Amino acid sequence: MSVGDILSVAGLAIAIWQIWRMGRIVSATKKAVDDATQRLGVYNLLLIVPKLSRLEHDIENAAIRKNVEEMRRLLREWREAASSLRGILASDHAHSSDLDTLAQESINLAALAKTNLVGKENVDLPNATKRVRNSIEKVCLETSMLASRITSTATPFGARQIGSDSQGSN
Amino acid sequence: MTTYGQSRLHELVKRLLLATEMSDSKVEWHESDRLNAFHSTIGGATVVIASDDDDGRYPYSLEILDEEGALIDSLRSGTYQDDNGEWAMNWNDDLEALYDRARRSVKNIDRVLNDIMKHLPKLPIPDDPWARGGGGFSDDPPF
Repeated sequence: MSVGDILSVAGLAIAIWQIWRMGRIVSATKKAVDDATQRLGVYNLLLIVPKLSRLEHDIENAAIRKNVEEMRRLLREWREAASSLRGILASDHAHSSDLDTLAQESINLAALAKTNLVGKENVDLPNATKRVRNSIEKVCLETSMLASRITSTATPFGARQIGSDSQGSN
Repeated sequence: MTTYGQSRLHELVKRLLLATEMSDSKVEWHESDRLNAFHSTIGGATVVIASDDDDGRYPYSLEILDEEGALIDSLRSGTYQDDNGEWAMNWNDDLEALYDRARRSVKNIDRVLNDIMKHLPKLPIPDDPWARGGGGFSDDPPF
């Protein structure tokens, strides 16, 4: 075997090793990106919870005050917010399909209730929006519960578990 | 003249009608706050069958909503005129049938009727010459 042959074999071995190493890096990078995406989904979910609650509250108030125009505007806003929620749920592999179904139904009901209010300034607003408001309430409740479950089990980014040998500082 | 879009929507109406009439149908109709309208979510979109004047009667409409609840297409009952007079649109009867079927499905009307009828005597067969009034046999010959 000549020096050239030895160098060729060594070069091949190095190339194989580099390919294997690159595969591990790609795999690790993909995992890191997936983890970051999931965390982003969690953060987006936590951000949308108060928005949904605020809308629910405003919709209830509009029904009590019998403000048809305001109700129509809020129902449109709800459709957008619930659609955003569905987008967030779709990006999280562990999302709740029940919540997704509830959100979709609330979007449908909001669209239909809004149609029902066109040209009807003296409508019995609480009655004319009963189903959609019930649906919105369910979505808000389920979303809050999901957010609570996530925050109670999630490890904050960069946090370390305190071990039994850790004395802390006094 | 029927447009391509109208033909497709008419086909959708017929298929919805067939699916709604099937006992193991995956098409489930629901009520909403909109009076005399019923909707079903299928494949990410929502179809709405409604009585346009909110009175449960003609004219009817089928609306398609996208995932965000926005209206993307619709088909409505109506008439058209030509030199020979006024004619009903091809899909009028199917829209009415779908509305009726959806309403009956949502309100479980057929189940309720079946439950009521279980407690009532069956009607005699109309052509049965032996069935008279109170249900007893008559001495008169059938012919």
